[in-house]
Amino acid sequence: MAGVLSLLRRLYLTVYNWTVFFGWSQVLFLAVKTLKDSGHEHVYNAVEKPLQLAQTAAVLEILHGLVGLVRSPITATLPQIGSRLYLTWGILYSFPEIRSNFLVTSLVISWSITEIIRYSFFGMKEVLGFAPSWLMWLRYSTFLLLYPTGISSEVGLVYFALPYMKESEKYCIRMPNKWNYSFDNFCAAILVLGTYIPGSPHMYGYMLGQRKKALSKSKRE
Amino acid sequence: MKVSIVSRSGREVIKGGLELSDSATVADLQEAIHRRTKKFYPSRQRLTLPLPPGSKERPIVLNYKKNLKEYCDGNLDNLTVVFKDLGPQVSYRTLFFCEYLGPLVLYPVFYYFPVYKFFGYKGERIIHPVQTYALYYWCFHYFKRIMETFFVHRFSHATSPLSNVFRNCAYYWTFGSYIAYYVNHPLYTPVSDLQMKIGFGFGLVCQLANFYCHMLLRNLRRPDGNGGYQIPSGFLFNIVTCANYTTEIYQWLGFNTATQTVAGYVFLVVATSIMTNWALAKHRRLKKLFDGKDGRPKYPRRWNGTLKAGIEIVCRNHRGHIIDGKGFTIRILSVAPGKAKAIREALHFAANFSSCPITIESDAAAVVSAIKDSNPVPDWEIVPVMADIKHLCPPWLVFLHA
Repeated sequence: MAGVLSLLRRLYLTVYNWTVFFGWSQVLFLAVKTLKDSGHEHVYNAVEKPLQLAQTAAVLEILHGLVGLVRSPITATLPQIGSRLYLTWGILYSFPEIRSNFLVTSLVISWSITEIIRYSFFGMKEVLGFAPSWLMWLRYSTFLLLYPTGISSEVGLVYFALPYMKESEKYCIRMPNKWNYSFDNFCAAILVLGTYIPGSPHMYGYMLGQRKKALSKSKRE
Repeated sequence: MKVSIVSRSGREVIKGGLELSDSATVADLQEAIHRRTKKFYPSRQRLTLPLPPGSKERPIVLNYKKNLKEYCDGNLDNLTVVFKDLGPQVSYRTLFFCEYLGPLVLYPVFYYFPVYKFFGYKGERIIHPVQTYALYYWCFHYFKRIMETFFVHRFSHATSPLSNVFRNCAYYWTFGSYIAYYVNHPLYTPVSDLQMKIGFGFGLVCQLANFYCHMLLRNLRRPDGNGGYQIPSGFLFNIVTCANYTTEIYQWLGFNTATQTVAGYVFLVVATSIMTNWALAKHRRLKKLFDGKDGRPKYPRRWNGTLKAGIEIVCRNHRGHIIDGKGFTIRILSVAPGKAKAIREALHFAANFSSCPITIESDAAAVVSAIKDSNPVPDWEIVPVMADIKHLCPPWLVFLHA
């Protein structure tokens, strides 16, 4: 029984990881192709569907951690996936005015390279039981460059979307109402930007620690 | 005796170690470390026994009340302890006072001062009665908590890390302001008069119950005692382990019923999840501590653990032949009361044969000895049953326990 379950688990995680890997490969391919053929203004429209699909599929990763399917702390995955989802749906999907910004290209390319490496790393581990050392190295080294580019694109896009949020009042809830509640998307976005100040160095430091742990371990083996 | 103090990485914290008398306590050692290091006062120090390398076990923390000898393990000349700096410490009273002062001061600011002008609301603000009652309710709540901090609570630990002050104050002060902003808002929509009365009334009852819970908890610890855990009992503590959290959660529910803000309910959800974690941890700790072994009392089962017990009465004549019997089930909190109830039922049953001498057999030694020799009863739940048994017992009755 335990054997069947662990086989099912492996099968499911293999399918999951390689499916999302495929989604992100598509995003990268379309982004680079569109950038070359027609310029950065058109990148978003080309990648929209696979980007939304691949990024939203990451919600399952939080669930995997919660039910114990994978060993990854929710404190590390939740802020990362949360900020990505905020960008995908709360900014790019909700404020089309921002889509032609050049930061969309750097954002999409940073995300997709990181994710292609990450999902193929996990996918390999599920299929073979290990990942090749070069992939391991990539998994724990590319973030050194791609985190800063990704995070600055994220922050930049939220910043450039601020005037449209204020003007359109999209998603805003105003008093008076029965439940005495109000929501201001503009203020919420500023709060989100505020969380990047302690959040970014924290995540970068966390990844540096992971890198040290993983690469020193692989050297010993 | 010579004591070497090393850090967790094995580095010597005090050069050359310390020389202490053979009768020295851990507290003396902590004082001696403080004298040499100046910076590390006793509550900042965490002293443990060294672990063998590679061991994953938790190290044994030295209890400051105990004698150093108890940790020496045979070798009385030399002792190595591992030192960890816990960082700057503050007393729990200071921590709680800072936490509660924020909401107590910030809430009235939103009520009394023209705060909403800064948020762009012009014109006169009409204050609904519920907003005034909410102010009194809120301030009473935090005033109560501050008073309890100074005059009621007895803490299990003396100090807490300074960093907790910043974290906890951020939590209380932010949520306090967030709720105050909505309840005192110029565009606030009140609930019906009846709902308001039910909410505040229920909340107030829960606050009083909460105060009573705190008094019960206070009486578990002696005034001169230094913490330590006891089994809470009485009032709602017979039903749940942390009745103080239960009443606290319900009193916030009362406040929210009366004021009806999303902000208040968000706080309720967050506070409930935090207190639930604390309660589960405390329940586990008490169950582990009071395991019923080696003379330690057994932690009683709480309400979710009522047992279904089968009671069977077999009636035999003087030759040992079964002549009658009876069987049924009851719900109990623990085993002993079940045994006592079985004896009471047997006595009722035996009343049918009142003319003959009767012998009753039971395997509950504690219950039988309590009946025969008037020993103290092993469980509070038994007391009324015992009274019944005493009343029913004919003088010629013989008790056996098998």
